[in-house]
Amino acid sequence: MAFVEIQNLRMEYRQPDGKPLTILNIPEFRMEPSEQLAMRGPSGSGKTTLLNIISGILLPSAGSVRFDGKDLTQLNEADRDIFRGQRIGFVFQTSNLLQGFTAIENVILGSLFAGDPNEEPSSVRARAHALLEKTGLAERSHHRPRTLSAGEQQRVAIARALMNKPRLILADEPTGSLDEKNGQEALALIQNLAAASSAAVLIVTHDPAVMAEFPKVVNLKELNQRL
Amino acid sequence: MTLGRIIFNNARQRPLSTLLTSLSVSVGVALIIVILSIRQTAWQRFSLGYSGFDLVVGAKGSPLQLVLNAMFNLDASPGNIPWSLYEKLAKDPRVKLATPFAVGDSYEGFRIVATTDAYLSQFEPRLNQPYELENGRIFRFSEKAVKEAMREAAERGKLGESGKKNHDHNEEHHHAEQEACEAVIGATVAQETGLKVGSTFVATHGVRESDDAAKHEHSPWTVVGALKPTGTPADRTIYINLDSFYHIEGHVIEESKPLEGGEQNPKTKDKVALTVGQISALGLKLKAPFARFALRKQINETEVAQAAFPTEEIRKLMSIVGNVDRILLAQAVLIVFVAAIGTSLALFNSMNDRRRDIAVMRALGARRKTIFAIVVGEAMLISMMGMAMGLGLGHGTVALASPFVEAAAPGFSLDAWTFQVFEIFVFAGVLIVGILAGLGPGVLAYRANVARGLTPT
Repeated sequence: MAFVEIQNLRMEYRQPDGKPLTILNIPEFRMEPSEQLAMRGPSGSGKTTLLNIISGILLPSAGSVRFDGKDLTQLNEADRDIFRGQRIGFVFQTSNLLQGFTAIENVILGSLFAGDPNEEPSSVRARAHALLEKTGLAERSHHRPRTLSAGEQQRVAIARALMNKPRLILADEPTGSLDEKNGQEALALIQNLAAASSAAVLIVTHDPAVMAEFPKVVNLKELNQRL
Repeated sequence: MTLGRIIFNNARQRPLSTLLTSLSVSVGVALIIVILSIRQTAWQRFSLGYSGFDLVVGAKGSPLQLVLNAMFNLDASPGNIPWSLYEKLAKDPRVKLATPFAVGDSYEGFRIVATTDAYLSQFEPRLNQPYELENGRIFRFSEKAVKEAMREAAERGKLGESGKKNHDHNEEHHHAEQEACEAVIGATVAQETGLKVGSTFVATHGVRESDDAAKHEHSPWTVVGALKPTGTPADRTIYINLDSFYHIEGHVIEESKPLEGGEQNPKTKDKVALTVGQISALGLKLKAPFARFALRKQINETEVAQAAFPTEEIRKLMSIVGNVDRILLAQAVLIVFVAAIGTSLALFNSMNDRRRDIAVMRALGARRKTIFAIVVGEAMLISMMGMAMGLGLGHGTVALASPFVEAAAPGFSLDAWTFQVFEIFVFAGVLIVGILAGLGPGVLAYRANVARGLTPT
């Protein structure tokens, strides 16, 4: 059985005139453990919606989404929240760091909501610090996001995504708001840290330079058979 | 890191909004603290003041005025009653102890109360806590001396202006011989005037200090004792022996009244010119408290005096005051509610800014109820900050107002820095209001659309 397996997935929205609008219609999609996959597609093709469905944020109108053997569509919302927090790491186009928190507090946030409740706070902090060290920001762990550059903020966000030792990292245009150098650094970090922790990576992008870094690229336009 | 830390950081992220909403809560809390502190102190002070007296007897008029004047040294004396009534009631088999009071003089703003030694030795300013001397002794007193002083005062009255000078000389001589002018001072009097055992002072006629007030230059009193603090009006009172009161020239009307007479002097502002053979009031302690009803009825049927229950009069006073402070209290509670609405609005307004943060937290695994708790927690934090500031502001206001209140109502000192039990209820109330203020924004956060929140704007 595949690590991520989508069967007959359909996502529809109701339009103002009451007619359904199909966003996604994917007969089948699979990912293997530790696989690093790039997904390309034009704006509005449903890339972000697919990520939201795989992470359990959105429920599809039809079909199944199996993750690590568990059908997310059969879980209630609270269970999906926990499942997502424990097994999926998110990296967004912008860092989406909480401005009122320091870098290390932002990293720790994930473990607060879905971490091991028995883990000692000192251990949580040590892990967060180690992740910041890996992203080259240990010295700036107590800085607030506004005092960090866009590239640094994205590196903090990558550390945050890895905090709960996820099985899958979902990255939505993670280099989209960065310059070329910072974009490459961020991408390398995601790939290297994910590989080091045996996490799979699914990145959606329309940047050819990013696609070039991945062994496998899927075109959502071909995958998605809209009616 | 804990949820508390997230709540704190969220509040800190909007410092102005947090501060202003907290301040508005604090104004309401401060008002509640001030009103309840005054009410609490009033109840304590008034309930302590009449401990030990079953009945207060005085001139016909307002029973409340009588009680306030005789027991709390407030207001003016409603008039005088004949000494003979004291003698009669002291012998009444139902009366355990009768204590006469004569008032109308002061020293540096502190009222002078002429009474017997029994008042200081047998009555209790606080339940089961009789007066205690810090040092010295209680003044000497004998009824014989009182009667002699009254007779002399009556003669002085008959002499009128023509015999005044001669009489003055005689009076000084009399004082020197008998050393009858003795005083026991309350703790606050000692502290504020510097009087101590062995000091002498000259009283002013009337209970308010003024430059033109007549002074009893020929009648200096010697302080023979100083009382320990009691927390009652006694702390601000100078007690003198009753006979010394009648040695004073001003306490005699020109046309002497018969000793057994029952006429009252007309009231003139604060000053009460005491007629010979008359006293201002009587405090009665009865052998059996239930006898007070019959005795009151009996006294009230006379033409010369009335009897009042101190407890009943104070209850009446507090019920009048209570109506006023209930209105003020309602206004203060309303302010807290309006402040809570302000808190709620501030949180609602910030929800758009938080949309992204909420979505990120949800993406990181936070459940809806966790997000709800964070927002409600922030409202509670703002309310608690308001509560803390309000406590400081309220108690600070009471402390600042205390000297003015004490100047307006001697003996009524506000205890600004003592934590009162009612504050626990204020705390609980503000906490509940804070929770209510957070409910609306909390529900909004609970229902937030995560996918939409994560969409870059």
